[in-house]
Amino acid sequence: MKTMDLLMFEKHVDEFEFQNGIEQGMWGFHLEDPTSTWPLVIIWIQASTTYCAPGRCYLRYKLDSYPQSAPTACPWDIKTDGTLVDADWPKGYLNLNQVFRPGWNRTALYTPFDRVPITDGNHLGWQTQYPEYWWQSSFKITDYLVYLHRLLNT
Amino acid sequence: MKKVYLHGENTRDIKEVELEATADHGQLVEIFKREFKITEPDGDYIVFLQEDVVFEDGEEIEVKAEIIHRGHYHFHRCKKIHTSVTYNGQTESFDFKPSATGNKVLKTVLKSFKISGNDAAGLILKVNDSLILKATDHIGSFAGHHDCKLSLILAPDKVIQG
Repeated sequence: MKTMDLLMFEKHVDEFEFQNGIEQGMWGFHLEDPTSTWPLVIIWIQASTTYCAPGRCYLRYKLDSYPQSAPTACPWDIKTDGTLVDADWPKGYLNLNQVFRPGWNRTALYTPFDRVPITDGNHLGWQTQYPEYWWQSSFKITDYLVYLHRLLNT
Repeated sequence: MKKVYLHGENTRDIKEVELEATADHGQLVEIFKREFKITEPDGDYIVFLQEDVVFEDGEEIEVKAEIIHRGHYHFHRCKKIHTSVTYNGQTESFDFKPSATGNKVLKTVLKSFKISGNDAAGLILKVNDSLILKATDHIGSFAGHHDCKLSLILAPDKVIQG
């Protein structure tokens, strides 16, 4: 039986904005059956080769309790099926380097969309500083992807 | 059956509808009216596909006759959106068709302001302080037929820190 978090995820990825992103080549699932490893899902995001040499950045999302709880994601090496080595994390300009910070945490991204920094007790100020990015249960996975796609393609 | 996406005037709401394979533009217009609850049209709407030429060549409208499966159709009374963009106190004006995407608008704006490379990194277009023009947005979603105008701000995205 499917859990509520999985059902909500499937609902959201079936909606226009997510599907349109796939159609436009902005993102996609790595696996043919993307939720076979639920709550872990690998999603690639199209990226400027300036910031991410292969032109695609693979992220492994952890989505338990979605969307009540924020997703958490980290760059993923699909060949080794492990976290991407630090040297290969996307980098290029200030905001991008701030969000992709393996030196801070290799299992999450430094953004108010991500569960780890917003629940570690050290970034509560973000809620008022970045209200448009601070994860809320009304958010969808697409909101996170649109944000990262912008960072990786600006 | 064909599936098409409908983009209305001054709304970000995108409708996904299915119609008969033999449907024509007249039927598409009726579906637009139904989906966007337009009972008594005020002004002349034009229906066009994302890639159609709308206002070039003396404002001629060249619209493909056949309904394209998975096509993005726009229903708007503006042939072009008069767009002003302010950056660092300087304002420039542009005309975009309503179906122009945020991505295209940003590229055009950066080129016009002669901003490239690292200087362009992290710059975004905002409709207002809390509303960012996304790459996939269509500019016609933010303008109505009364003035067919839109003002945007080019500004750095917020840097996550602290």
